[in-house]
Amino acid sequence: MDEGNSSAPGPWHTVPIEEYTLPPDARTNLVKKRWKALRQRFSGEDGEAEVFRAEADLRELPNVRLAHIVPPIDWSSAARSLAQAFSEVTQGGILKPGARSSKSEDTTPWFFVSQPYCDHGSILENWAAEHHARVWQPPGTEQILNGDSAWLETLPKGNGQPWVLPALERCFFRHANGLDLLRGFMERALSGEWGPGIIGCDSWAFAFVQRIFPLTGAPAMTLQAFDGPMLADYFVRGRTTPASRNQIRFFSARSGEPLVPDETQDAYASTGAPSGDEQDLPEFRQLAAHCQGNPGLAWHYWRKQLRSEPETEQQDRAEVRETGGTTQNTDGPGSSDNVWVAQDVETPPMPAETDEDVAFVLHAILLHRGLTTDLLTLLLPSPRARIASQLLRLQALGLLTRDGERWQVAPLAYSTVREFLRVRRYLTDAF
Amino acid sequence: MNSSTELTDLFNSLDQAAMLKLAMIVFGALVLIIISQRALPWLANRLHGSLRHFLLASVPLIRLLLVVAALILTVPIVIEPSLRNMVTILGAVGLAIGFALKDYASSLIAGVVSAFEQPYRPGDWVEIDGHYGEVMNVGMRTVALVTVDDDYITVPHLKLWSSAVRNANNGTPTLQCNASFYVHPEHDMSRAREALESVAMTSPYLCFDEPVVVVIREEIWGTKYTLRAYPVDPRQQFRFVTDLTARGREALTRAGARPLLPGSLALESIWTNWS
Repeated sequence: MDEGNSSAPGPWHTVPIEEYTLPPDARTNLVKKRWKALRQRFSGEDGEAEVFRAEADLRELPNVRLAHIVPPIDWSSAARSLAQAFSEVTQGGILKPGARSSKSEDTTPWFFVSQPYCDHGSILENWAAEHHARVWQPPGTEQILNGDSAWLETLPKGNGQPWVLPALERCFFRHANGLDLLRGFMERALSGEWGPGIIGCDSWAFAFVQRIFPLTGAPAMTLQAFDGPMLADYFVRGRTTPASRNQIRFFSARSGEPLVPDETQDAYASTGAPSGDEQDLPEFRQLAAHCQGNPGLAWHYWRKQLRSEPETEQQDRAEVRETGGTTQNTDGPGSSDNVWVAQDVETPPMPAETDEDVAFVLHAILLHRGLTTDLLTLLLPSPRARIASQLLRLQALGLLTRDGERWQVAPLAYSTVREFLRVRRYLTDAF
Repeated sequence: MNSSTELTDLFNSLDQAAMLKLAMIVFGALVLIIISQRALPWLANRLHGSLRHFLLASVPLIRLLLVVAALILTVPIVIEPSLRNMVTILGAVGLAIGFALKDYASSLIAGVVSAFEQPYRPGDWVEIDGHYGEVMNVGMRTVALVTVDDDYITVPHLKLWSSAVRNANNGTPTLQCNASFYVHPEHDMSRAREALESVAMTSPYLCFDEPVVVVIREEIWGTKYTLRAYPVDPRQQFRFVTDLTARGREALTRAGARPLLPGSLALESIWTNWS
């Protein structure tokens, strides 16, 4: 996505994990979601407000057009905010007072924790490429299960050059044999043996790692939550910069009003910068609250919310056929393309009958940021056949997706799954 | 003749309207009691954690309040609630209960006490009179348990006066489970302890909000390890202990702690009996 100034981190801010602030309406939204879930559970009803455009009349955007309007998040901007935070850390001052001694700041690593769907691996690899840092690959499955310390010996000793371990969640298994290597690594890394570096970790894995190896005083950074205006800035401005040939206008299917006021969008289009005014953007505020400020999750929701008129969709398909798969706008600069934004996205529900096997599978997948069927069989006390059948059932319900061999929680199901595990007192992440 | 006239004078004359009123009160109370006894457990079993236990615990209390409310409404219809009348009626009832229904009345009173003191509530895991199981229902006279063997056991509240009641979770979703291991004394204790901690931390049943503790006791016949941890749901306790035991034994063997031979285990009971 076009960020305007390539050196500025844009809306991305890397902050100490204690300073992560939920978007303003997140708690209210959480209460509403819980009430809605409770109502659905007992009554099966899902009361919908009256809408300006019936969402059933609108069509989901074709993939090509969707890829044009909402391209994948460019994590290099987040890497720039990480670089900024890292330089502030090394100069001192950003961390909480008393978190650690100034002497150890130079030699010991810190953690970069990200929520699901915020690709910390890409962010850290981008950062490593820009700062000539060494990127360490995680150990293999057998090495982890055998506690093979040979992997630790392959990691070069500190020579002042920073290093990056992009995914700590790939260095352990929640298995009695799967923690020795993690403990060994943490002990040596935190003692400063390998010098300064950054350990990337998924937020769920981080919650677990803290129980295995308490990280008292170890600094942990994360991406600050995106609020409504930041999401509007990110999703709308990138589509209406002066470079865009075709200005896209987003309309609320609920109210029929533009999501972003015309003058703001015009300001984006003419200057490529936000107007700077504090504006009420209810749809984006709701999106930020629903996703708890997680930009990666918001990206998935935003894509799912976009709709077009049926005739526009047919026109798009015709254009795609004519241009051999690429979208080519026939209008000149300054012309606009209207996209409807659905009020709510249908999220996959949890199955009515949920036994503990379902919770085990979902929890294990989240703690490891994805697992294969073989690994799930190794980690859980259920027979393979039962696990496999649960996986297929959850996939059919839209709660799981398959990324190669690994099972992942589907982005649109994440909030539901997290809440499902939270009320059952399973370990959840800190966000 | 006089005394029978005085006795009948205690009671109001029950005309059709009074009978209808009485019937409506009794019927209303019964309906409300049945609804509360069906609806609250139904609702509670769709919830989890503290809320589930709170709702289950409220069932006997609500029933007691409904019974008391029904009595308060009924008594003035049946008798003139003067001091003289109340003393006469209560005295006669007390005499009858004291001779004929002593245990029954004692159980009823213990039931009232249990509703307020709450030594057990629906959803609790308790041991009464040697029976361990989940409390399914706290009635007016009895408490019903379902044991691990799926036996339905009814225990009169009367036991409350004379027997100890062991409550494993006391109205909360927090229930400690213990898995015991008996090993040969020649081994590295710190390794064995770390291995057992890892076993608990990697069990999918584990509730991380509660501590994991390994207790080591040196016995005359060897070393006894007890792994104490909490499952996310008390109903998982036996599966949790099974998981800890199966994987704990493997982990101890890997850590170089040999299990004791069966013959050695016999020594433990001898030693326990002797001491």
